Amino acid sequence: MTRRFVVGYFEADSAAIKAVKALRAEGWQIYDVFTPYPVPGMDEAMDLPHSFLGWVAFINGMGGALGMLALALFVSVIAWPLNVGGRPDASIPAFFPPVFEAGVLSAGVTVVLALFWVCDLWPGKTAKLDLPRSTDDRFAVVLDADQSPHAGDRIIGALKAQGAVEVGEQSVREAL
Amino acid sequence: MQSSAAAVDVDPADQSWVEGNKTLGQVTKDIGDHLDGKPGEWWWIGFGISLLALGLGGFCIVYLMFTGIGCFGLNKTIGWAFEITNFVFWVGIGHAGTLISAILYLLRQRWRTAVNRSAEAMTLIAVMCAGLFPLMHMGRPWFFFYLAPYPNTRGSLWMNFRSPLVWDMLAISTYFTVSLVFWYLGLIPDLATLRDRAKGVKKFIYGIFSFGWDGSSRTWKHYELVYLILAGLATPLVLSVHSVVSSDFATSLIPGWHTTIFPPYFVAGAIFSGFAMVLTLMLVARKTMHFEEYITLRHIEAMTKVMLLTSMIVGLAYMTEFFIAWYSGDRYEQQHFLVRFLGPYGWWAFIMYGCNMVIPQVLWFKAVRRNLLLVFIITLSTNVGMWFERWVIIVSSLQTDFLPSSWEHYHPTPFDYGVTLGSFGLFFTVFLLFARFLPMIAIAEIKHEVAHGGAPHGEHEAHGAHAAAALPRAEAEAV
Repeated sequence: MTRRFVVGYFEADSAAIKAVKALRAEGWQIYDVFTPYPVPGMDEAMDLPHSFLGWVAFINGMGGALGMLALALFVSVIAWPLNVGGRPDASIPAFFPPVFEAGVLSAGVTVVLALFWVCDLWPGKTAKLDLPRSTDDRFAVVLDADQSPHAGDRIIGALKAQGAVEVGEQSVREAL
Repeated sequence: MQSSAAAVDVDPADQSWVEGNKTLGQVTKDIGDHLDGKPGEWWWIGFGISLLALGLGGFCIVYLMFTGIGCFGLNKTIGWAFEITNFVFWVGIGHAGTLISAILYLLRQRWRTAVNRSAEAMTLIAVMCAGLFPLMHMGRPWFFFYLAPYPNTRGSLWMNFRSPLVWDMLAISTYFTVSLVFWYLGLIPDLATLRDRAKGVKKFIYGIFSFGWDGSSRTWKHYELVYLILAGLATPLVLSVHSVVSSDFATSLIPGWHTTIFPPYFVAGAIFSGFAMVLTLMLVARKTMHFEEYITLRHIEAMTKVMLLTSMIVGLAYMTEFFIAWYSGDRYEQQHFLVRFLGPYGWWAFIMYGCNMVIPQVLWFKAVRRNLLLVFIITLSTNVGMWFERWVIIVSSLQTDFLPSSWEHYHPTPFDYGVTLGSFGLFFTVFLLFARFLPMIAIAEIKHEVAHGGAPHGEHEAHGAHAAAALPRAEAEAV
């Protein structure tokens, strides 16, 4: 299936935010905005949901830490108990450094892998849309051209009214 | 900032940290252009020398593998010397990178944007150099996996979870992995920027490594949270790493090591030495790569202030050690600290205390902080001083333990010097390759700084499209 997009380019992040707000107020759905850096306020303008990745880090961090604690206890109490001056086998405070490191490692690595998974980023992937200069110095506001019948031309008009320096159309072949 | 009328007198902290009223396109060009042309002759000279040192170190390591660690000057009293000193030195160097990238991020210190990328790269390379030494010191590095906890055919012989050496292995490998992930995550948007301006093979290679990044705002939203989480994780991590390294010593009973202040003392020393190394590298990079408008005098000054602070923390720790040695009434501690100064190797201590505690005091003067040559000399002396600090702590403590009959001198062999030089060779070789193939400055973060840095006071001169980007933040949000 081919999907058509309308792209409006802006040369300042504030102009892009203003356009996004105006277009949304007119009832258009924003597909995405492509920017060279994270634009403060864009998430509110687009009304993006909160990222849930914090939970991924928390759960995996706790899992890693508890897993290491379990391993340390298993090794030191069951599999290989060492008598060090009569101290208890389950000397939890001494296990704290490994437990902490395992928690950090597990949280840090899995949250990044989750980011790649959620945002569909992988080595060798090519960007879906061809948006010149959107990683350099322009802010590309992209809308689905077929969100309602004959929407394309009206969106182009709306983007131009918002002061887009360039407006174009792009078709992308999408696997369903 | 008493009234809006005084807005001309802008608070320095609110000024943009990028000079020269850059546009976004100029930022891409300034940083990206370095990767397009051929490297200059200074790059080749530096690379040649580094490679030579690395080759020498490589030869020493190969020789070591075939003959064993007897080729170092170790004896039964001093069983650890150059290798552990270099290990602690390099791990310490790494700490500044994480401090800049994670702790200053959480503290909202915007000046970090110009230096964080190269400081993080420095961290990774320094930790690689550090990791070499325990491996080498094993003599049989191919048995390294004995440290990993897994059911094995040796008993099962498990590792001892109470040993600081095991903590160390876990801390260093976690530190390296998390730093690598953090650094690479920051690099992805910039690799995409480079991909979009490159052609041919370069475009293909940058394309693979940029993971199809397109700057989608939906992705940025997740990305920013993940970056914050990693900064939050790396902050306690970096403090834990050198605390664990210090536990290698502090958990023993050797006079000079048996001290509870070691963890904070080591962490402060690590940040001190790391900042010295970052400054050394940055001063050279800004000069040779013409990054004066990105790494400004204000950046240099901010970093020297961190150096001054950490130098005084370290100085306080030095004096506390002497005080406690006297106050504890422990004759062995007292004797150790007397020997440190008055013994045959008193000059080690003079270098250590002079370079780390006394010389950095000149950084109180603004004229010194803004004099690049003086700052450069001070950073070099700090690097030397911090190496000697570890040397004094390790070797002078081991030299004179409880039994005078076991006292011994340390006589370094060419292999001690060779592997040390080799680690510097590795460090500079990889750093020069990094400067050649990857953006030294975080492009996306600098663009954010360019667009919003000086914004609250609206001081940006409007030129072309950039004018709108410089709208005061409050106004931009109100639109």
